[in-house]
Amino acid sequence: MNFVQDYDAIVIGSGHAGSEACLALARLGKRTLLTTMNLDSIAFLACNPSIGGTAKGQLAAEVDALGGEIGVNADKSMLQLRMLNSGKGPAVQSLRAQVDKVVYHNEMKHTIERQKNLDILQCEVAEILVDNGKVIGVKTSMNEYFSCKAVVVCTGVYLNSRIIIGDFTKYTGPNGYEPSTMLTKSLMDLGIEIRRFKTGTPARVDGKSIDYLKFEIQPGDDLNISFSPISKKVRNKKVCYLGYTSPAMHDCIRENISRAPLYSGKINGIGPRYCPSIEDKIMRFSDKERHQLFLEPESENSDEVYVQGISSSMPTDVQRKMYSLIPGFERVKIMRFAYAIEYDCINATELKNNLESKKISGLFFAGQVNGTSGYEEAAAQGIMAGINAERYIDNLSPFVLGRDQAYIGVLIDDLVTKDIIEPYRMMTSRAEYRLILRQDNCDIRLTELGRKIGLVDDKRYRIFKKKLKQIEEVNTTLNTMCNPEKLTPLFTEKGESIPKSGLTLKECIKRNNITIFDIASHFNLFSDIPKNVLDYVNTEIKYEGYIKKELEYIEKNQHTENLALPDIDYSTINGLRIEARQKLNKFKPSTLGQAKRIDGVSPSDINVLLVYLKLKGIIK
Amino acid sequence: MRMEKTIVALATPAGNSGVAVIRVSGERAKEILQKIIREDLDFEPRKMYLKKVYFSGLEDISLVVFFHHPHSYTGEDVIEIQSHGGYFVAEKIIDELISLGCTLATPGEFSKRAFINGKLSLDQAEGIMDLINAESEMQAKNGSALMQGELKKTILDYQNRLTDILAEIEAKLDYPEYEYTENETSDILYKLKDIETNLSSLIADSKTGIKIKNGVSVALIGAPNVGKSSLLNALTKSNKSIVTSIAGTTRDVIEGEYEYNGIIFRLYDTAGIHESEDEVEKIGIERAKQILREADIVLKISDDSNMCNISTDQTYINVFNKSDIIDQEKMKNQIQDDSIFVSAKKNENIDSLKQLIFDKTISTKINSNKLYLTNTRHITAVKQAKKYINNAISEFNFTSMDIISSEIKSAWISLGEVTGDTNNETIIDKIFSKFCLGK
Repeated sequence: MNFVQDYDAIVIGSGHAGSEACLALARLGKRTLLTTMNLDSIAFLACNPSIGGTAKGQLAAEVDALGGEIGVNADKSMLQLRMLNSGKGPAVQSLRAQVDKVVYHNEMKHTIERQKNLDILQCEVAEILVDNGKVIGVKTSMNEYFSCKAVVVCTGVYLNSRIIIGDFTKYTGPNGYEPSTMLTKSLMDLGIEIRRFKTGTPARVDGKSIDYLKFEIQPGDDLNISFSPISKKVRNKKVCYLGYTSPAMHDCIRENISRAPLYSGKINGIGPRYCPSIEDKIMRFSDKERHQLFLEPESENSDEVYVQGISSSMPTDVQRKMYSLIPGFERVKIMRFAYAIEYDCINATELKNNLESKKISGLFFAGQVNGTSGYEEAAAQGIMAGINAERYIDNLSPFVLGRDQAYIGVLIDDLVTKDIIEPYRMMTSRAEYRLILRQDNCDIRLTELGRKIGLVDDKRYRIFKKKLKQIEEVNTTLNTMCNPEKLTPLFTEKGESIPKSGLTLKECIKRNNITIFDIASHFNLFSDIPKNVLDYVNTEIKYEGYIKKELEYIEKNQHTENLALPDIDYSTINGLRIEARQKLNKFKPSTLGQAKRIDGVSPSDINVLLVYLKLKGIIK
Repeated sequence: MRMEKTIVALATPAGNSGVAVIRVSGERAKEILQKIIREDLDFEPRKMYLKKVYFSGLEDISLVVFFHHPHSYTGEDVIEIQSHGGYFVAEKIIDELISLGCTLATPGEFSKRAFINGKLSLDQAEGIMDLINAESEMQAKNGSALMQGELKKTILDYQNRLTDILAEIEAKLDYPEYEYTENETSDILYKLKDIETNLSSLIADSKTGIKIKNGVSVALIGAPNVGKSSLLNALTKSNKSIVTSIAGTTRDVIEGEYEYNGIIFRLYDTAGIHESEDEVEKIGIERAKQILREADIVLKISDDSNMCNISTDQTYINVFNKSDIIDQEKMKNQIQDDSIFVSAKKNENIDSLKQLIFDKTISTKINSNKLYLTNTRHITAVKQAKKYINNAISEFNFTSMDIISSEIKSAWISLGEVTGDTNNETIIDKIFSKFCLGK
């Protein structure tokens, strides 16, 4: 074994988790090595050419607010930006960006290359070296040895990955990239449980072969913002298209269903319910006559088009036939076939809430290897694992976000407490405090924390402070009293009953039909205030009652949520059901809130635990 | 979990009774039993033994039984001593048990241990509390249904229906490419209204439930000497108030009670309401007025010489007493609906009066298999849930599905408070502090 060099930390894998992890570590001053199987795969968008989406938009913006890279990188490669769910309420509105997949990779690679304290090496890590329960370094397949104090494993779908297209199977990563074949064994030797998950992706087709007239155009929104507040405003360069499957296509899939690996038993991995392949959709929802699909551009300098909604693992001849049965795809040319992919991942319940292994000190995991799916979920774990690896090295307390602070908190808490059985995707319904965890306040929630951690640089902080000041200004103005005569024209125009006595402008905004923008244009106010600041203030006012309710709920639960649990032998607590005793002993939750959410621990078990803690004098 | 203390308390109500049951729970239960019967017997669990119990130099022949943990009420080792009734004997035996190492149980401690040891769910524990307080047959039934978790089943059903609705709404929120169709939203609205109706009737029935639990309050008013006290005695068949022929004898609000159709009726015999200089009488009259405002039903009692024309907002019945001596023909023109002739003295028509009171106070038909909410905490939670659902219905439109969903979730959490499915430690504290001693 050839000793090469000592680092503080080594990040294995350069996808969306690995990129954030290595940047966080290096920016926090740790001498960091990023290893990747292929330099050309840094921040590779293996599936959708898009960042964001419901709840994912929030995740990406939260990473950005903490000082991460995903938001800025999306802005650099932006093709189109939309605000989803704009008609369904502020709690569920999310940003979604179409990005140029080539530019996205290039920009992230370049950012990493330029980062101080950060080295990059193309190699395959074969073994994680551990001494006395602590990480001491890694060994590569070429027998090189690097020593370090912490390792962050961000292997994505590359551990023993196998792609499946009908009868054709091959041990390979996405896009022909090499799979990692040795690291799984090393992890198993360290006592880490390995499971196998599955996911899939649709075909990429030649845009020149599509009859776009048969699709509905989906332009970007005129938002006048960017993903990250520190980026320049972005403009929409490309459009997407909406189309539908056809009955003929459904028939084709049904006729060939015996050849689908999912149904012939060729695929053993567990796939996600929320992102089913088209054969799954058609078999499970047989009464639906058609399914939606979206055409998304892969890059500004390419004709490749991503067909969202039609992922499949059918054999190539069936794929050719079924894609051609989509209205507008009559003469379609497939450029890359759809495929399913199986890969090894770990059981994230073996991790602590700082994403460190409970068994091996200094061994962190982030991203798809933890059983999640999605770039944003990966990036969120990546930055948190990076920060916590630094804190581990520097002997600082872990940095953990609560479920009431960020989707990142919801994500990691779910991962380490719930025995997930399928790839985990973030959804707004997973969050209890949705009205607080909004897209429009990610920076307000987290920038200050990111500053304390040390990832928010002066530029970002200055922009943030400026925004806070603008919010304060707007709020001051809105507290102005206004007499009824002055309000009458506006109220009449908006169909609101005329107030008998004076109102503050803020009270006006509480009326159903009046927004801050009506006030702004009617009274000629806020011309120098950006729209997103006004949006934020508008939401805070309109939903004040509901927001207050959630805050009260948070406060009410704060005590039990954050109550630290000592090391208890749960098997000795008689009132607990056997399953609860086993689960609690296995997970060893660090707070009562976590214990509550462990699968198999019922509310009555928690009541028993509460009474026990009370009797033992652990709580008053 | 092992409790350090072995606790003791009287399990039957204090006071005169044929048999008193003393219960001991905890690790040392068996050892203490051996001491008090002065015999090293290896008790067969759940078998009755007839033994002499020794205490303060006395002895009593008692039935004793041993329950081995976890097969006991509390899940711990338990002994029960069935001694002769009467407060004196039971009290002395308990004193003796304390000197042998027991600690007197705090209110609700037995049930608390049962709960901790997984023997009871939260609402079952509350049901037991109701059962202990049960005085009437109907009340006992309601208590025991609760014990069997019937309430939990009902509420769980509503919770599940809300879960379904939430799932429908949430799916579209997380998948923006799918919009709500007119059909789907009207279906959701319909389902919400249906649940609201169910909760409303649960709340409405709870008023009956409370009557089952606490009894129906019946106020008797009328001029002095029309025979209110005699009527009260006829209804309760006892001699609780002092009956004399001197007007104004009944100076206090005196309570009597009877059971009819399984319901307890509490009678409040008021001092006659009239101008009086007598200070004591004045106080009685004030109290009478208060009773009049709060009673579930008012009996306006008249006879041929004194018509009762006191007005009340409450439900009332005109009762013409002394039907044996008054001229009913002559009174006919004064009779309105809801009137009845009775003779308290001769016990005439008293059962019809009871039936009339019952019909007028227990509005919904009592179904002995039906479950009534009687616990204030449960009623509050269901009302709260209904309020949230109301909010969701009134806010219902496409543009604020996030808010509607949050209201429905709040309703869901409120319902969960009935079944103990949200973990709020203050609730638990409250419940246990309300438990009556011994259970």
